Amino acid sequence: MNPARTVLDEYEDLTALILDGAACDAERARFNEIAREFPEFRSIWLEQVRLHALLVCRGGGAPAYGSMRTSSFAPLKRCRRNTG
Amino acid sequence: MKCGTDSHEAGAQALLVKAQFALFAYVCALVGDTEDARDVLQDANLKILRALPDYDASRPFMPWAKSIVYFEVLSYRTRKSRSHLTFADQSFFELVASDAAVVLEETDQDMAFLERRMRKLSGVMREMVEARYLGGMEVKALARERKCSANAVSLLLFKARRSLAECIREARLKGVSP
Repeated sequence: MNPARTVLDEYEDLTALILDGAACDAERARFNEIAREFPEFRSIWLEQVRLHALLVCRGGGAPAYGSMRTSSFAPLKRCRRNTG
Repeated sequence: MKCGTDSHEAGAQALLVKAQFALFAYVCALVGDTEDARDVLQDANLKILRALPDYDASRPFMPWAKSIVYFEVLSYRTRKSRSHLTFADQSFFELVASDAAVVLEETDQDMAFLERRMRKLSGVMREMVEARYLGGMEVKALARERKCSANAVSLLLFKARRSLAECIREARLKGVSP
């Protein structure tokens, strides 16, 4: 463990792992510990998740804007790809 | 002004289609896991569709839709094992939910910004983002291909998302049109 690393660094790393679907239970537990102690870090989560969702949508992992037929929401599951 | 007419429902359905980006971002924020978020949103969409005849068109659509999505997320949380929840801590979850209800409203406009800002990413970052989000590659697969650790890939993606977020924020502040 690099002693210069801060809790914020750790939280950012864990945020990345969670959003990328690469976090294990222990890492999720640690993420929760930090989140409980530093609730102000949630702005980082929201910033990351906003971009993550945009990129997933841009990649076709969610319905395309204006092109989805409301009679069929099935395309939402159409692209169950490895995006996190 | 509740109205169960066809035109009322067609209008509300159009709003729901338009809201998909923002609702997806909202669910992702509360659930964390992208695949689970898709499933939760799919279930929520069906509930919203069923509830459309009760939607009061004189009130904003998004808060109404988000309230249905929120309850779908709560239902997901009761089904999911606590150790697998991204936000096992209920108080932090509620804080995130409260913020996400507001800050993730303008996701559709951000999409237009994103297209332009992608070009400003450095070569490696852009390649990674495209491989991950357009190519659908898993982080582990990307790490193998790039001969680096999965943590390194995740960190680079984190930085790419942050860089894009900053570009979008800056463009908004400057009043640049998407």
